Amino acid sequence: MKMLIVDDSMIIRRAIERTFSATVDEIKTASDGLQALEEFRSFLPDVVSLDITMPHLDGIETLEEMLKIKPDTKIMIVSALADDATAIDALTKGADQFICKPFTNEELIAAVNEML
Amino acid sequence: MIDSRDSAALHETTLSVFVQAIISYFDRIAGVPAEIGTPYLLEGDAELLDVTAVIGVTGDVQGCVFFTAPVPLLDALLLLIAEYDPTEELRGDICGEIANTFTGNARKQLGPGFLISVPVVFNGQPDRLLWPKNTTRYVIPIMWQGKRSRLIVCIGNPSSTPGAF
Repeated sequence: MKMLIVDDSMIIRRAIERTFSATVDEIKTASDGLQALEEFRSFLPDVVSLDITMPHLDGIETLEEMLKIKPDTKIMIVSALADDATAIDALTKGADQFICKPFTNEELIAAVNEML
Repeated sequence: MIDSRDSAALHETTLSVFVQAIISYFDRIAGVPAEIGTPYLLEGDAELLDVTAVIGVTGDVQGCVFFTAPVPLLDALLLLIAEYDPTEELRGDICGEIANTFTGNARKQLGPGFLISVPVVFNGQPDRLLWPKNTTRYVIPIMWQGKRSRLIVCIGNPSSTPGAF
């Protein structure tokens, strides 16, 4: 399984990477939506962990672009935006899971297992 | 909609939401809740600690939110997420992420019209801080594991904030 982790926070990228490093075959990271799309096109991951509030291109727009390129990608939103409207919007636009920050490793693992 | 409320109610609601977000954050990441001091009105400049992250707020409410923290607090929090070799970059990153989490979580009650920016992080006390115009500034004192930090919530109703900043 290939995973792309997208978050403008380095500590979040590293925390998610540590959580899955033993169980995922290959992990790549990106720090904003534009960089994520560039990485996505060549890497074609099976799973994406995606933040929403990021510079250049937000997570919702990034999600929509990714699903145009590879519609079967499983996308887990990991965001501090805790309002229901944001979660519903992301899920309606194709996200498979919505995890609210701060998260636990167990929540991330359960969410990914549920998507696959 | 928040902008239909009067100013006092707006501030009371917003502060209460932030207090809840702070308590939840520390409880969730460390299992030890933070103690929250009585919020107070800030007049004049704020005394900032070692590292500060600022989030801009627009939409139903206009202003900004500062989270300011000392290095020992940030290092303790970095340890909790297995970052055993703290650097200035990591401290800035976690400070920004905390500010982002507090403000993002506040949308659970304040709604999607509470629009937030990505964090801007700086170290130390700047010579001068430019506060958004026509906003009121409140300080929420935070104590966690004997370490003090502060959340400064600077908000106003957008209809009374022409040309903010």
